[in-house]
Amino acid sequence: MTEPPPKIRLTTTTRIVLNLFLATDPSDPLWGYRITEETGLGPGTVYPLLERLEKAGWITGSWETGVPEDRPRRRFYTLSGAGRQEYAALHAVRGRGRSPRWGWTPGGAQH
Amino acid sequence: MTDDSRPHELPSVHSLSRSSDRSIVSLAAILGAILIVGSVGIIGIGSVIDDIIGGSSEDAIGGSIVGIGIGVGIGVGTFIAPGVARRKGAAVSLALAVWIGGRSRRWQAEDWQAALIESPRPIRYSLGLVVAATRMRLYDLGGGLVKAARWVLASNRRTWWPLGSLLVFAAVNIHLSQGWGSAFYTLPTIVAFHLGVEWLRHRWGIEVKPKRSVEGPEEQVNRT
Repeated sequence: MTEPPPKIRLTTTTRIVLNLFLATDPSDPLWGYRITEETGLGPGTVYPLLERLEKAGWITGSWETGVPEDRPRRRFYTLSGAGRQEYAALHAVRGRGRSPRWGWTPGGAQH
Repeated sequence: MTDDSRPHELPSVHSLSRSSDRSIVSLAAILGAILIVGSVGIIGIGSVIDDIIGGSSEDAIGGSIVGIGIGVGIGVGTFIAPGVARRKGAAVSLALAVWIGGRSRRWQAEDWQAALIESPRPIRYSLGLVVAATRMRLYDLGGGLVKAARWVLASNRRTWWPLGSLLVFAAVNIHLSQGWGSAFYTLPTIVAFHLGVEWLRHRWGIEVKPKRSVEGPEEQVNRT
């Protein structure tokens, strides 16, 4: 039985990390330590989130090519096309949810 | 998800220490130079003090040796020991994080190890990795519980037999201890449980299994 992909909730930390992915050039990949440095989030927050995003298919991970002499390989992450679409869709839903449902509008009723 | 192009090794204290060996050697060289200069200075100060208080030259040499010993102790305690302890501590925390993360996450150890080498505060970072591994395992545990809860909620029998028994037991227990009046107040609890179950089913998109037909398959065929 295949495990269903985890559902991604747009928490503040998720948005911070995904915005960083969007702001970064795909040719300049991100890895765990760099994400913690650039977002200011701790590794205890970033790594579980990266794991969930990767399982959900929002980001794709790949090992650094070549074997660096002075350190082990890094795991690079890039935002996938599906992740980009899903994030945009969830972001739109979230933005719509913020508008008041029964509020007064200057133009009068729109129905 | 894992890339098995290279066998993933568990991090060891030695492997984490290896990368910064050069910096340790250079640090030790600088420290050695400081100690030599310091020792000469201490010997000089010792002989000056000796001249002032009028002691023998053996006393001055003895005092200087004690001074050198103290200087070496302070140097080791200030520069070398914390560095070694920091690297060892980070390696131990990393090993703990990998152990907590479990076998399925052992492949991530290489990336974590690389991050520890990059980080200027490896102990702090490695403790963060322990937190990360713990959260991942709790997430696994939560996933298992949710899976079990979904299985229970997918059937009315699996949901209401245990819940109903519990509620009846609670009602009887309250009746025996406090009387019918109090037992009556368990009714809202039953309603609340029912609403809660329906809300969870709706939220998780669970479809309840339809009841099995009492008729056999042959009877159903005959009827159609």
